[in-house]
Amino acid sequence: MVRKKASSTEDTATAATKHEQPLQAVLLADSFVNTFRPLSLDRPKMLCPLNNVTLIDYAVDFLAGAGVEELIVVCVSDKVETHVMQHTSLPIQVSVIKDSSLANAGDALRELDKRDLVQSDPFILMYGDVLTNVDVSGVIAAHKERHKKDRSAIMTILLKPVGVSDICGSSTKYSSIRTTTEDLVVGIDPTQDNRILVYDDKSSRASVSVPCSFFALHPQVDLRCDLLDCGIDICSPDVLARFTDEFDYSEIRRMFVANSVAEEEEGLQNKIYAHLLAPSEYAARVHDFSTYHAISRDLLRRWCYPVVPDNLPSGYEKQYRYVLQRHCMYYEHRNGKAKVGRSSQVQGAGMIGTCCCIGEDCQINCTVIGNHCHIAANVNIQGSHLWDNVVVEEGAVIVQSILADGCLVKAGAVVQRGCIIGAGCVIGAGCVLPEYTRLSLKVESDDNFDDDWGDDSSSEASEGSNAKKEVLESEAMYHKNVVGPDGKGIVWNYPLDDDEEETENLPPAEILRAQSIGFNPTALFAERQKIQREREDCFSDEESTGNINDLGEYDGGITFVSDDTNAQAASIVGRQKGVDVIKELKSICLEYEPASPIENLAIELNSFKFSQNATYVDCTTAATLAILEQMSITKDTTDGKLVQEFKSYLDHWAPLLQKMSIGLDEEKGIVLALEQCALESNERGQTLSSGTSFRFLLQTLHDEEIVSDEAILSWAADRQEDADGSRLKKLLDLPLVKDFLEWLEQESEDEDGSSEED
Amino acid sequence: MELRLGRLTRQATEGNVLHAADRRVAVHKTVELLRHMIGSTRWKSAAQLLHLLRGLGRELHAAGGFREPAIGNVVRRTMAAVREEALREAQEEGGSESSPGRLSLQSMLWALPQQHVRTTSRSFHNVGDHQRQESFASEADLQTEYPPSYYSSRPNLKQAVMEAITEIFTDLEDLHKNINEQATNHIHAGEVILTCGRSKTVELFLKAAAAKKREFQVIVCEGAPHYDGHVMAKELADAGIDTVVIPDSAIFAIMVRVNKVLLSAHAVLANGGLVANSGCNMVALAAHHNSVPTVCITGMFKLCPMYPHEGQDTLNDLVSPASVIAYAEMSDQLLTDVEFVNPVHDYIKPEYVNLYITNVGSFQPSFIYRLLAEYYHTDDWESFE
Repeated sequence: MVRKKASSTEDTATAATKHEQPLQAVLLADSFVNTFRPLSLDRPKMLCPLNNVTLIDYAVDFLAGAGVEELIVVCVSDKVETHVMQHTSLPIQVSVIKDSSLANAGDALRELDKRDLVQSDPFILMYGDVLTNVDVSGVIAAHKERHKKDRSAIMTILLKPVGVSDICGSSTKYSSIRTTTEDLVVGIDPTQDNRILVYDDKSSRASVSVPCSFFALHPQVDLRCDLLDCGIDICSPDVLARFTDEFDYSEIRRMFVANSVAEEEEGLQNKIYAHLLAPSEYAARVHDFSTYHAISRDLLRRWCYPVVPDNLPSGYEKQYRYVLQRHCMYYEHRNGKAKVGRSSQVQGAGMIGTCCCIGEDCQINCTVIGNHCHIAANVNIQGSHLWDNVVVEEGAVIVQSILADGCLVKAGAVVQRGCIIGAGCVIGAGCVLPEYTRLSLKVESDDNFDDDWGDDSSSEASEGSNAKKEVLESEAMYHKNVVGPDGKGIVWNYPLDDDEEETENLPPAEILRAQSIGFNPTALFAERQKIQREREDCFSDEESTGNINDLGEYDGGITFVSDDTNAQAASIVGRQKGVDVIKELKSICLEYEPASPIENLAIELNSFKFSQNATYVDCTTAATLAILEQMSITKDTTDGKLVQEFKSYLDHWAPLLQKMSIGLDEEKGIVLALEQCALESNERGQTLSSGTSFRFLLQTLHDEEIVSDEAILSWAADRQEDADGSRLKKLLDLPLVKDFLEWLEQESEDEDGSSEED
Repeated sequence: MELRLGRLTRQATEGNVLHAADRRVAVHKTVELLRHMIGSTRWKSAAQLLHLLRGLGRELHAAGGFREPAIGNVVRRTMAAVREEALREAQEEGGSESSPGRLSLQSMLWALPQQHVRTTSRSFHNVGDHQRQESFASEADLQTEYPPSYYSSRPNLKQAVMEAITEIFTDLEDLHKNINEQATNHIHAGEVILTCGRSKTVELFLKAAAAKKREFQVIVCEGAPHYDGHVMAKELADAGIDTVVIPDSAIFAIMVRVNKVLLSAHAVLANGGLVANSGCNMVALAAHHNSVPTVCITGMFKLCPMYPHEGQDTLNDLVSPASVIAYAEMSDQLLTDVEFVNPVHDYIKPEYVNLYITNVGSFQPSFIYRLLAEYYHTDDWESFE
């Protein structure tokens, strides 16, 4: 009964989705960075084992389990191609695109767009070094829903909250699955389906800029620095087209995402959304050796259940079977259990592969040991990773290091923390390797040197032809001072000509360390915090707006402004402080050459007005002042001459003043400016205020129809209200001015009367 | 197909909530797959078919991540059906064998030593090269493995086996109906029932009792850290049952007031022991201390021919510690130093279980071995690992 029901609903579901494309996934099987050097010289990073399982197999198995029906693997190296083709026994369609000319993730996506392989909307875009147990079906459904409503919602990024990095005392609280060299800040709007508005992973920057227009559209923007980018995206095929458009985009995160979310123009936006993982879900990327170590530990401690060693990816269960024992120790049982000496102590979380042999009196803690390893008596290994066929001789000590396939550590040698030892290296007897040493048997070929992506391709290509030569050379090239006289190995150094300006200006050696196991990032974080705090201080001095969190600083900005001398001017929003607008406007007017048309001046005044958020009143006032300043007014100037000169000026200026006088206030401004001049205590002021000249100038303004009756009368009314005998009332008390005003009043009344009669 | 099954079981164990319904879907798919394989593969004799089924059982068990015993159980039951049919046909042919196919306790007792001899001889074979035998399975190996009558070609066998599989199907479909018919025999008016965590079987059982107008109270333990008890309580309350949720720490204190404890099963073991949700052992111990009867409700497909040699680790699984503590709150040092153990199951000794209510009737734990003999052939008891 139940079965029938289930099958029938399934049938209808498949019928409904029949015309839709089967779910596709794109797996970027190359990281395009060289953080795994020198191990990636031997084999591509994606083929390195993590907990005795090839890294890429985790991702393939996850995608198959997530309901992907067609998997497209994009890779650079032949080895990856052959591995994927040979080892996936899954009943899904797998196609591999191998192109050794791909230089970065952007190229890979452009290549996909060119080949037009991705049909399903949406598809899963994932890095090959991701480990996760996320349930993506809900995310895909949500993405589909959004994309249907809004075509510009083209991408959903999965982010995992991992806690904030913080220094408490001498130790640091930080999440070890995020890389120490990057510091991701994501701004999301939780009210709009977690739309991403800011994406910034550059740790060297002290501030994050958010366009102001975002605050108008998004009432809430959460800036979070506790998120980890999982490297899993749900994308619409439009994303590939965008990459083709932007031919210079090389990275998905730093370029495409960061630029897309920062786009302010509504029509150009590619909307990108975030999906925050539930607390029970785990996802992380193997960026470098320190994250490799952390993820290995998390897997052993079962944080990523059901991705645990006793539940291997499909294909492995036929070969290996790990059994969990106390304290997260996993032993291989199917092919032959490890022989561990009775007096040895093996403690979890750790794992021991097929047919291993461990001698007496060993101390092995938190170590992953690969298949067919031999460890002699009295060996001490702490927090390390031994890949397949590693041999450790008596009395050796290995701390927090990775030993690749076929390494040999001779008796009494000490491998100190953070060492990376490439395949086939030999550490001589009694030799002590310094901390963070990276050894390999291979040297980087020169043409590959400044390529910071080609994990393998070019080195591989040259490998075949140069193999014999290398062997001949190598004996001489070994750094015997490091690995001992009977050792083999070449010290690998960070390529010096590699200019990566993003990684907060650290010296290359420091970057190497930060990417190794056992690195304590406290100092690094302290340094970073110091930089960020310092710059923040400068920032608050400059401008107080924009900092949403710090209200105190904002208040400080306000008080700083209000104790300025010209409080009125400064309190106007949008005006540079300390700018006397009228003075500036007047100087613009004075610089104006009378020969050129007055419209030019109008444009100039207008632009300045906008830039300082001034009013037309300011402009008219300034213009009047400028005119009066240009006039040659002395004691001897007669009224007639004065009016004549004024008139000639006005002939030229009238269009400007009339244009700017859009209301009563502007006209009144002209009168006030005239008054201001008349009241000045200099020669000009005395001339204007003493005789009849003020009256005549006022009349001239009126006659030229620059100032209306109402403006003059309202000015007069204002002055009338002032106290008797004040300085301002002096002009009004002049008999001639009084006469003029009375006449004006009468005239306007007549006009009113006549208009009423009409 | 295999993949889909694997995904199903993975989904079932993921999220730390085991839905009995999901598991039944997985079992359904297994039976469907078996039917498909038996129908589409060429085989002539019972021996070949058994060999095919055993290989299939291994693969399916692996696809289920080795943590879904029900899958193996269904395969074993199909194998037992094949054996029975082969034996019956042989008898019909010969007509000489006196003992009827029907098993009785007595016949089992005298039959056992013979079978024992046979299994030891076969295991001797296995010691040599297990892998090789599995992959090549030459005729010589097969000859010694089964009784000679298994090797004769039988055209009627296919139909008989198909009928047996259909029978298993109907069994699974009527599972809840058969269990729930017994609800009123066990839940009486005014009783206080205690249950732990979420279980579809227990939920339907209680609902069936409530549907027959029985008034009773249910106390649900929340089942930290997965808290599936909350879901269970909501379901029951929605059905109009008087429900109380208690924290797990209150189990012992409240046990005095309880009339009956109902538990669900992940697996029922050969010794009559029970593998149930984590926390159930505490409930069973508290019930035993207060002489409260502990009753397990389960379908017969959870009956495993397996002994709890590993104690609490038997058929157990440790899931992500994320339900105990958020990953975001863990610093690097804590992750290295602290170990979180988050098991999903508990093993309960047979002494602490009073009764099993199954779709074929109610049994005491001491009777389980008898059911095993009826359901599976002793030669198929080996695990599929």
